[in-house]
Amino acid sequence: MRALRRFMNRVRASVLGPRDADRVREELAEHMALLTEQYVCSGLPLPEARRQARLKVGPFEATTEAYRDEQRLRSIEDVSQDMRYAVRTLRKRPTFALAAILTLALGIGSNAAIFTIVNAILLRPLPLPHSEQLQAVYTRFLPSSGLDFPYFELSGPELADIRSRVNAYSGVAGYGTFDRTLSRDKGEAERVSTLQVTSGFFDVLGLGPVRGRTFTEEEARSGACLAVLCEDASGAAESIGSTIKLDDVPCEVIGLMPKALASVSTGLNPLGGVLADRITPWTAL
Amino acid sequence: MAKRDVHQGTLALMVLKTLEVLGPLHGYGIARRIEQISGALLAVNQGTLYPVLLKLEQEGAITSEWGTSDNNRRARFYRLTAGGRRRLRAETQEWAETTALMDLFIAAKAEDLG
Repeated sequence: MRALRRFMNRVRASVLGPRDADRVREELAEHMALLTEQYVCSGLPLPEARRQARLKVGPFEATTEAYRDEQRLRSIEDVSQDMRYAVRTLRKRPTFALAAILTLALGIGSNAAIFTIVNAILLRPLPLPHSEQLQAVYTRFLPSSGLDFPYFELSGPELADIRSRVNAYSGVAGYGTFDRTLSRDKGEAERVSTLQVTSGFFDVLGLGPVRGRTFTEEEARSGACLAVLCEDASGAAESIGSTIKLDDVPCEVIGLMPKALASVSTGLNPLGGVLADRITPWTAL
Repeated sequence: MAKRDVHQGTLALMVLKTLEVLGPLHGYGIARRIEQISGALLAVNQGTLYPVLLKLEQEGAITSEWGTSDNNRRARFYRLTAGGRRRLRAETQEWAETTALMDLFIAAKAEDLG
């Protein structure tokens, strides 16, 4: 309470300026005068009395300085002094000021942009039910191999092994990312990023199609190209049942997945090289 | 006996006590009183009194106003507030307890613990 009261008093003195800045000088002068009189009364000649008084009171400047420090909050004053100095300097050199402001603006802007991407890809949980139960499995090269691939793809047989022998998971599915050329009967061909996935991929993610269906294991084994499109792909709704071509291979469009999956497939590529296109067909692997 | 420096907290207590005993007083009067009581034992630049007075005032233990000194000059007079009086009582007690405790420790001999 006491400290708070003193703190508020000092803040006020710092911000508004002390009400009586010269008070201590006047008080010290008066003190000195009274002390000198006292010494004169005790029989000292005036010059010697003055000298003794000055010795007794102590260094004048040091005392006023200490007084000032008690009176205000040094930190507030230092900061406001620095601010004033900064503003003055910037005003004097507008080119430099502009450069500094631009640098800051660009720096903050790019940081925000990068964080937005990092947040979307790395930090935000996947928009899937029970995404905390999902685990990605990779191959990691041993240091002795001399190769540094912390996230290397599994081979097909490795995936098959994990699928059949590891009991820790309720489901295992594989995928590969490929850039492919998509063409339809009409319109221009476009380059899209696709995921080629094993059957059960959508079950593992816990997402069902919004329209149509996904493929079964038998269909996957048959080798036919079946495509599942992202809901918000252009013309996706009309293409169910139609045939599209991926790298010139005809594929039947059998279903639409919710658009949430597009961001998931972005997140599935740990190297981040491929961003999900608006059309993100998932085909049987 | 050598002259002693004075701890700031102690000086504050001396100031409060002086103002309680003598009533409103200017800095010189307080310094003089402290010197009279302590005799030649206390070595303190009397100027250091003023930051202490300011601190006590900021904490609300004393107030001050301009007045006229004995020789008709302007001087700042300090007065104890009600809060200052309470604080003086509390600190006096604290001080007494501390010194009593220290006395006990210093007086204690090995046999006493046997």
